[in-house]
Amino acid sequence: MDFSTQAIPRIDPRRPWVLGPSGLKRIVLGDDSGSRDAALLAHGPAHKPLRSSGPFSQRLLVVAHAERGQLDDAAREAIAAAAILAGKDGEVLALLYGMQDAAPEALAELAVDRALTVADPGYAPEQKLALLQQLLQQESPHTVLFADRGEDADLGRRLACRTRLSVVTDVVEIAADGVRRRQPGAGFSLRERAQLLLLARGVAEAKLPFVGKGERLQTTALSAISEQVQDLGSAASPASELALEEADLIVSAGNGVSNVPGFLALAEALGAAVGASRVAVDDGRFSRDKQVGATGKTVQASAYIALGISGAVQHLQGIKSCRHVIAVNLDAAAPMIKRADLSIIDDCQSFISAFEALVRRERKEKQQ
Amino acid sequence: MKIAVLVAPAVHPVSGRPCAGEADLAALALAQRLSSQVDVWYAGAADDAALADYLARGADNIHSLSLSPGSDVLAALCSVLQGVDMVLCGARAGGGDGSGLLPYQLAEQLGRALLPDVLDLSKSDQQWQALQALPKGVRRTLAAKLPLVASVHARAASAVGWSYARLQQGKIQRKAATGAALPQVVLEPARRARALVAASKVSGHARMQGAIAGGEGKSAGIVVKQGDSVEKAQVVLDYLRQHQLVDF
Repeated sequence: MDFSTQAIPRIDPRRPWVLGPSGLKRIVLGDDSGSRDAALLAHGPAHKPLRSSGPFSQRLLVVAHAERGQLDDAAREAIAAAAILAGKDGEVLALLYGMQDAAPEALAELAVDRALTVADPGYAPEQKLALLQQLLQQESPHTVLFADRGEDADLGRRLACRTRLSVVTDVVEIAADGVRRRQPGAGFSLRERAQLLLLARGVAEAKLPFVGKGERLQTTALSAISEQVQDLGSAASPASELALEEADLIVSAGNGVSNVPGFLALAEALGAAVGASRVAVDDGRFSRDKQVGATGKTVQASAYIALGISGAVQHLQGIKSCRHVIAVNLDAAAPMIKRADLSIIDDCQSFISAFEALVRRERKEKQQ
Repeated sequence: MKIAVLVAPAVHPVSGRPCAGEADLAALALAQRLSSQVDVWYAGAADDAALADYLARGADNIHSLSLSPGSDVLAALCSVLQGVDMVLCGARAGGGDGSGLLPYQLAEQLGRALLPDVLDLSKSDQQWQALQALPKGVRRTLAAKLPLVASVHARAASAVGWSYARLQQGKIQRKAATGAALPQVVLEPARRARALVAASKVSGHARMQGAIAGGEGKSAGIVVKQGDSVEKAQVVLDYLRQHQLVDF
């Protein structure tokens, strides 16, 4: 049979249709009028379902400190763990310090059902403990979760010792048979699930397919409580004086940076710590202790500015826990551009001099 | 002023043998800098060989409270630390549970002020000022009156180097003590921990669409190609200011 002579009936997969009187789509063959289905390419923000609408018979409490009004990954994982553990009849409560400006949608997106958002009082452990104890009495949650790092770890340990709740720290896995924690030099240890859990990183997947109710929790105001320890204020030492692992702002140079003195001047003007990619270190432009990546250091800065770094996998591994990554590169297809939150396609040399001049000018204006 | 330093053997990360813990050594060094009356205490089931590193690194005399394995050290320590003005210990032991709970428990039991993660201590007027190490290089100054408990951060200045002469001269004095039994734990070899993942009820088609929309749920960042270097520098500065990453 000769197919070439046959007229092949071709069917437009998106034929125009009109809505018939019965409410069904009606396709009129050969007719060009009518509406077509929207193309499937434009995706709006996916609508997530509510985790559980209640009624709730039990509660879990998550306590977290926000940094600059945002929760970090460790705190998000703690909330995700609570939401997964809660089940249909469990309510996720949260006590969030420093998130008093958060919108209800933002709280719902975190999968929190009811949240008490309080301005961060700074160093005030006794005041925080009093509020927590009041909250425990009012809501009687069966489990309290903290992220085991920074202020949350400190507050969690204080609460455990004050209220004599059973506690497991450094939890790496929550399973049906109990919780596992890392035991120094001895692998994992399996324990019964305690009332208070301090969670290490990676206990739960922070990305959730559902949202919470995002309502506000109310408590009665507490009277002022005196602290045993006085806070005389804190200071962030300039990032340039810090170890790379501790720095909050890092500028990092790769093969694209040839003017090293200019780059160092930019780092000094910004008050940022200096990092480098493996190529720049191997070339002898930077010392080995500046190397960021799999064979160098793993950094956790809030902002990481990568200048002329293409972003090899090993380098991206080292900056996995950086919050904001800014890349400057001539190659718009470099892997670093995919990782970066803000990418500038430009030559590094001219960018560095322009950025340094801008930073120095703005700093001067600020001082006046 | 009487200072007590609490030490415990750590597990060496490579050989697995008992050795001195970094934070405990820092606590020992800090105590010796502050006062000449320093008592070094240990409570637990470790033998003398495990504590030898502390003798070699500057402790003259270690008081060891011998407890049976798996018993709580809190009560035994509290009874000997009642009259001590300042208790220093490492923020986290490198062995045992290494939960970092002991300084909190001691402060609570003894009813004292707690200074956690201290890098340095200095006296001013009637108060003691502590420089506290916080993440991302922030240093906070706290002030408290004696008696107090302070846990010393591992980054604080460490003790003197290892010396065979000090190891030979140092003594360990043992005293029997009792403590409540801790709940049994089951040890397992370390493996990759399984994270909790929420069960997703959406259809396969929806999941595929989600995967197309953004790799691993992360939307792509902003890419700036237009303009000269000065304009692009302004974009970066605006971004840093918008997210409060710089203070000017």
